Amino acid sequence: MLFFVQLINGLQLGAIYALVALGYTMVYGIVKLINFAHGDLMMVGAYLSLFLYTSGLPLYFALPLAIIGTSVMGVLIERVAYRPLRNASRLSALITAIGISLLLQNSFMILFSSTPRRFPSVSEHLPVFVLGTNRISFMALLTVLFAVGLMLLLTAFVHGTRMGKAMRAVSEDMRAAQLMGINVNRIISMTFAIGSALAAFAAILYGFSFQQIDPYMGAMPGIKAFIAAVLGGIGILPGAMLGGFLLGIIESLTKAVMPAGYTQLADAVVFLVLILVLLFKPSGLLGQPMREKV
Amino acid sequence: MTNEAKPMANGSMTNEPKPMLEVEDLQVFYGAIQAIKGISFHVMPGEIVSLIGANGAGKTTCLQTISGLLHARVGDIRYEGQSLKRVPPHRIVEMGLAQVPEGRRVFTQLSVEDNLAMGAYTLTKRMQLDASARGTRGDVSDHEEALLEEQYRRFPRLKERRDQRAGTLSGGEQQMLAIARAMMSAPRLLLLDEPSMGLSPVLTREIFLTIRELAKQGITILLVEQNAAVALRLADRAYVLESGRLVMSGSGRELLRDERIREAYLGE
Repeated sequence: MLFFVQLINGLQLGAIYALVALGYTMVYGIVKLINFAHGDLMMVGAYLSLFLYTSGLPLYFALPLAIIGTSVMGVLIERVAYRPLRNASRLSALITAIGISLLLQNSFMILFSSTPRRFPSVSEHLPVFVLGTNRISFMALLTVLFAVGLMLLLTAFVHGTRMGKAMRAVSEDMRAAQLMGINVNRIISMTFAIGSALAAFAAILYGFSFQQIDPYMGAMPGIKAFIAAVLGGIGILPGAMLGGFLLGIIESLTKAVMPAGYTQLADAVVFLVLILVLLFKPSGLLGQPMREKV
Repeated sequence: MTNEAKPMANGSMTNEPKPMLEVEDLQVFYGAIQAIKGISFHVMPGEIVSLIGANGAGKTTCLQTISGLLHARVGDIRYEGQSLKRVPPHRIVEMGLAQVPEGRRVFTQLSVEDNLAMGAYTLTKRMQLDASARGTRGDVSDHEEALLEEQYRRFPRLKERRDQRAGTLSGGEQQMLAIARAMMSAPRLLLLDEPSMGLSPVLTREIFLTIRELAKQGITILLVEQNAAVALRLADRAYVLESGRLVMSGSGRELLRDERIREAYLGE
């Protein structure tokens, strides 16, 4: 029974990782950049939600606004920090991403202090399932449903719409895409907009699930979401989802079997997963071996 | 000939034919290396012009600069009288100038039909431009459907494989797809970069017959080729590019008979 509860917890955590991982994987697919500031965009989304809510807006208005705001922020970051480096070495862009990550963390620390803030709670309005002696929060189910729903929506967008197909075309061959008349800059902006909006979704679900946010809250989930994206096969949307859920479950179950006081070791296990993936299947669970294009 | 480049109304013709494409003193660099060392040439409406030369002569660089993927350091490129300098690649396609790139570069992960849809990416924009010029409105999806049928008529094999991923096609089929994809933008000027690359003589013949058909439909062609024999036979006029410089020009027939060409490019 404990196993079942931990499995649900793992799925809840995994859903959040998965949403963040989708953004990682999309951005990587298009511009081949590991956007290390992506986890911090989740933090931005959380603070924006809280800020708009506490400024008196009703939740159903504050949250969509926060999602849009985070999305705009992601697009701006690409425009200002990454676009000028489009033709520079990948390392320059990577270091810039780390710089942006630190910039976001520290500016939010100055703005809101490093003291954790309480996120509004909705759980009292939600039903609780009782399974034997265990209570399962509706929030957990909602989180999982939301994550899966968003991934399905994203997949439908990428495969079913002209813009989505253009994204896949740009991801495969940017120059050929330009020769089709595709405005690559617009596609890249769109990718950052969607990825950042998903991070904001993750932030809101995180806030409702764990009730507490701080300026560094994005760092660890960000890295774990990156591992999730690599685990599933970076650049592959269902891979990010699979990786996220697997990682959440691994983390949650590890915490359950570790003796009290050693639960921090769960993080180590997650990183061990990264090392194992890189050693034995670097292209990820759903990835095909790389065919480097010339 | 006076080449006073005045912007004219869409597609209208004056008595004095004006070049569709004019390249003037083009110089292109990769860092410190100069790939194109000041070349000038032109393509008249309805012409087939070939640019022949050995590997590394600068042919592909030249086409990529025309399409806006590379930037000239010196010189200018004018298309229908309008300078293409500082025009981003996607706008150039919107202006009716499409390119079939070297090595086909089809989107292997997309289906054949989706590849063709990508070719039609600018169609909405183009039709808006045309409509504002003519004051009429057409239906984009009808237009796209008609273009798609045209490609399938031209290459029935693509229709058979419309739902297959482009990566599963053979080299010849991929070349057909690359041409069909470019034609989906309804271009007035088509640039082709080494369409015979890696193809058997039979397939090369088939592809070149198609290019001739396109020209008969009124599409202006600028063709870059290493295979000088087929390129010269097809071309109305041709230029010879050697290490970034144009060293010779003339009608296709003239160049085919030229001693130096026969020796250097036709292996006789």
